[in-house]
Amino acid sequence: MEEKSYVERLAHDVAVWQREGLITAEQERAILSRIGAGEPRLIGALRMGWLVTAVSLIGALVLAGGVVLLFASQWREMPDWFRTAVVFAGMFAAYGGGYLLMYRYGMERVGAALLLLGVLLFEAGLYLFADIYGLPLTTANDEQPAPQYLLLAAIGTLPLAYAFGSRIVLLFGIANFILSAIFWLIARYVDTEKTDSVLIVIGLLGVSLYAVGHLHALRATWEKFGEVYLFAGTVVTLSLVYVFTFDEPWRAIIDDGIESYAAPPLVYVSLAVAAALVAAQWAARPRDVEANAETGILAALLTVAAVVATWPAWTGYAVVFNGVFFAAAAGFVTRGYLCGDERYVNFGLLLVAVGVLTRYVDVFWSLLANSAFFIIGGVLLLAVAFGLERLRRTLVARMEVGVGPSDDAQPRAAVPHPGAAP
Amino acid sequence: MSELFSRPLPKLIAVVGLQVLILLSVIGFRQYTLMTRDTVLLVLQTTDPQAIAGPDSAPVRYEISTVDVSTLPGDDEFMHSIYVELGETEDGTWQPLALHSTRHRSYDNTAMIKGDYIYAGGSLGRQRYTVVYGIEDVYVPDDAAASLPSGSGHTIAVEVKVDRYGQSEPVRFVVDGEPYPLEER
Repeated sequence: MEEKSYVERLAHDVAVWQREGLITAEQERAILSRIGAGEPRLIGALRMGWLVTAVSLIGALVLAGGVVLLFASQWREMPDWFRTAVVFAGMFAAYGGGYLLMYRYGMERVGAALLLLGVLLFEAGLYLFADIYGLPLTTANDEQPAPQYLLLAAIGTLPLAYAFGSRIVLLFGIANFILSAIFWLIARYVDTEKTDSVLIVIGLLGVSLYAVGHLHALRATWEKFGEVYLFAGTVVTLSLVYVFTFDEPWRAIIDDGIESYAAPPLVYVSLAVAAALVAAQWAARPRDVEANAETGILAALLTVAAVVATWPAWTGYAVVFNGVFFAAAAGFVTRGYLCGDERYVNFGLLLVAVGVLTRYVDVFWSLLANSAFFIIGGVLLLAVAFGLERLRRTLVARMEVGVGPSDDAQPRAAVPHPGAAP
Repeated sequence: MSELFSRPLPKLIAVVGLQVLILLSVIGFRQYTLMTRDTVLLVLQTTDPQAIAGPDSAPVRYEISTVDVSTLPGDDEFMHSIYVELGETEDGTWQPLALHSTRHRSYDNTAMIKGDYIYAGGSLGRQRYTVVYGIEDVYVPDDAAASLPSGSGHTIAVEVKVDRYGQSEPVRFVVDGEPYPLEER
């Protein structure tokens, strides 16, 4: 299955290289012949693999959505035993169909999509069962979704992801786990003076996921899962950093009278776990510039988190986190340039654009008249886009002609990239 | 053993088995909450047993159907639901001890019942709410209604099961200490 997947990926990639002029049409055909795909019809069939994956995944999502909507509209009119049986039957049909397609008929992509459908029906089943049997779907204050169902969904989903090598199922499981942690923290510390400080735990969770991603690279069979953890860790950490770039959380902390040394023990326990994972991934990885730089950045983030958790009442942190956010953006651009990977450059530039736009709205919304706000904002956005596009083209052009330091860099097997992990 | 789980079918069976167990645990937990429910006796506002006779009788109103936020401890603002914390009195009936906007309790050995509330007005510092618990549409079936006492001045109550989440289920009527069957409309 791995080799087939590689051949399909290569067939897709050489088409892109040929389109971009990196290789000639003859070279493209020669490469495809080398992997036994010289026939044009075969090439077309190979390239359709990506389309099949996309269509089948969308199909699984749409079907699961439809089933849930059907249940939501007709649900209460059905007897309990029937509703329970329908949930189990739907799951078994999806998993059984997925298994047969993958292992009897060799249709891995559609089969994998049916496994995803089974996972979606399993999670829907958790909520439907809770509804059928009269268990609360929200936290004690009736405001957030009950975190226990999300945690149970993660516990049921993660083993399937590892057993069948599905990265999208893994991402789904991690998302459930992260959301359960967030809702549990909110429910546990809601309306207490510790509510704001426990937000840091979410950032520490992001750093931990990132470290776990690198630890996955140590085992060959788990290497491809590492990318998913790196992606999830990056998104979670950056999301929290983004929230902390605003003044409001820090003003709320001061207004609420939160004093130094008031963070609950959970924050420091999370800090210790994250630090241990960061140290473990550093110790386990080969000592190169990339590993040292990444570990240094993670250690710096943990230090900032420890300082903020201990002495939270300072509005200047907004400036610090703006610095962290734009430094992260610059880091992505630099990494993309060094690795010769355009996707990092694009993601870093996207962060710059989001950061600039956010600060513009944050600062000028209340200062300017609506018309002036939008006119100046539009001009500013166009100017930023122009500058970013020029920078991007320059960087990408330099990467392509081999001016950058990536000349001597070997392609990395498991370079995580933000946006394509599943 | 590890060789067994290296094959796809045993792996799938193991993983799906885990998911089935998780789903069954939800049902199991519900059974646990049903087994550990509290039984409370809620007194009705009416003292005339004929008011609960037959399916055509009006929905009942409990003493706790009206609560006064200004006299009861706990929260005084509510979001989605109101949780009434009940304590047992010497005569075996249950009366409100506190009001909450969440499922948290203030006292030991109490029961919690959840309801939807409507602001019923206030004056002279009093803030009253009408609370609907979903156990109001109950009556004594016709065949048993014939044995209900007549006239006013009787103590009429409903025995209700409440779980840890405040969800309630009426079980039977109790009129002057005597049980009567209960049906829901």
